[in-house]
Amino acid sequence: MAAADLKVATFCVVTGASKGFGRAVAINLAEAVGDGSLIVITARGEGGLDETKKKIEAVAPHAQVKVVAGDIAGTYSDALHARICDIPSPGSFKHAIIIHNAGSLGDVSKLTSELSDPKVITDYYQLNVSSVLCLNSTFFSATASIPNARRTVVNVTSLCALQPFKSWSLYCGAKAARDMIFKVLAQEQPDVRVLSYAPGPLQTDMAEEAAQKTADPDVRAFFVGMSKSRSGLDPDVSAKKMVKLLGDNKFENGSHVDFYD
Amino acid sequence: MASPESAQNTSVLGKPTFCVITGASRGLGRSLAVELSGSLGEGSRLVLTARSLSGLEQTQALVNKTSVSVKVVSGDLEDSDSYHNLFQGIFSDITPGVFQHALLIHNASSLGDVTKRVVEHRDAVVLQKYYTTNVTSTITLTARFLQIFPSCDVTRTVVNITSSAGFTPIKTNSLYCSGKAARDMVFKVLAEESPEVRVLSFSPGAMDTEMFEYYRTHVGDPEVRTLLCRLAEDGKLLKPEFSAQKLVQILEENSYKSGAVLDALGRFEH
Repeated sequence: MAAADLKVATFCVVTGASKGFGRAVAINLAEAVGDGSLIVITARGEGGLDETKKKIEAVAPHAQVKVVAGDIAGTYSDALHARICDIPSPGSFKHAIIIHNAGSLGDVSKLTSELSDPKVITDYYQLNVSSVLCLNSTFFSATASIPNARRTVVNVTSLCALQPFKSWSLYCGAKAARDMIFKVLAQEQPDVRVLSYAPGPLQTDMAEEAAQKTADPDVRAFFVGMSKSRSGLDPDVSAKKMVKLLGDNKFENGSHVDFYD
Repeated sequence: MASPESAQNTSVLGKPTFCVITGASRGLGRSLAVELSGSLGEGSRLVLTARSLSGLEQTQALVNKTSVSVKVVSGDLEDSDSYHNLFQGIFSDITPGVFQHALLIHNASSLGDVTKRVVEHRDAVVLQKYYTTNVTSTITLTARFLQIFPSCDVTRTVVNITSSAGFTPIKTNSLYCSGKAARDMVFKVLAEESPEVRVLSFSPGAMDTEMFEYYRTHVGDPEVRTLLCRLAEDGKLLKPEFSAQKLVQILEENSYKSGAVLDALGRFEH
């Protein structure tokens, strides 16, 4: 497969962009895309998004940044998705990219046998699986108006999609579901580039939460160790790898690629 | 009595067993009820649940009641507000010490809208219902089941009826494939966390059931439809009784690795 020219006017959406990996992706993607690009960054935390916007503008002045704060899985998510995917002058773009990064760890203080509250589980799947499908659908409708545009979809996944981790059944189950959804998408639409990217164990708030709350002693020990030694991966390093993968464009469509591959 | 950790390879079906089967009103669920009723030990209880009470009663009539008492409880796994009452109905009147084995078979499932491609799934309420029925219900019912039968007294077995769709992407089947992928993973996590529980994911193969007929006649992708029609025309659909017998054999041998995904025709093992 030929390398992808990222240096074109691109319509980009990055979810969960207020901090951590989402912020790093938004910044690195903005640097990689061409003049006339529009980067839409979304998350619940407006303060974090404003900070991400400043950081993007500092390194990628050629890209316009739009902040859309809100809950992609909340009650008014339809309207939010429409705002996120609103494309001014579609004819000006050559490429459309969506990075499905927003997600949560879930209640890792409970073993599967302790997950008694159906609302907790359903709400978890609503954010980490269903809302991804809905936003993705809106993205595809909106970008259909971009004449002859390439489309790229990235599912931010995890080793947890492939391997079970004790007390992490919510996270592992949802990541397994997502990887499968994106494999199906790749089969249905071979013209769209679909990548499930596992960023590796990152030094982020999510890793801190894992260290503090994980019930299983072995899994918790890993994150506590990583936290103490500050040895988690720099999200910026992992984001650069992801952007390189998109640019090289050699990945098998729909495949799961890990930072360490 | 053998310690729960050595439950693998010991015979459990022949013991007095409390067995729950979801989706037992027809298809594989009905066949499982019939096949198991012939294998469960004296003093066993079979609890059948599904939405259709009349379907459950027909299954109840077919079941071998020589050694097994049968109870039916109707309920809708899509409605999580009703789980409390449903689970209470399923697990009522259990005298401690009566059962030596407890078996839960998560057979109920739905295909979801098989006419839609991934990019066409936009209704959050529809998706919420889908994952509630196919994922949430199995997790919370398992949790309740394990609370009711604590490990010191009883060997526990949990079966996840799955599909090759759990690891093979199929066009216009993103809901069914992702629901099975999620379930298979959740049950692997459960197996790691709770090594004293026997956990099995069983793929029964494509069977001659109402679910398959619905699938064949409604699936949106033409290539998939052709494949399904060919399976039916070539007589390659399994009888649900066959798949049920295979599962009973596997449970009787009890040698499977906890958390494994096994296929009725032995075509794969994960």
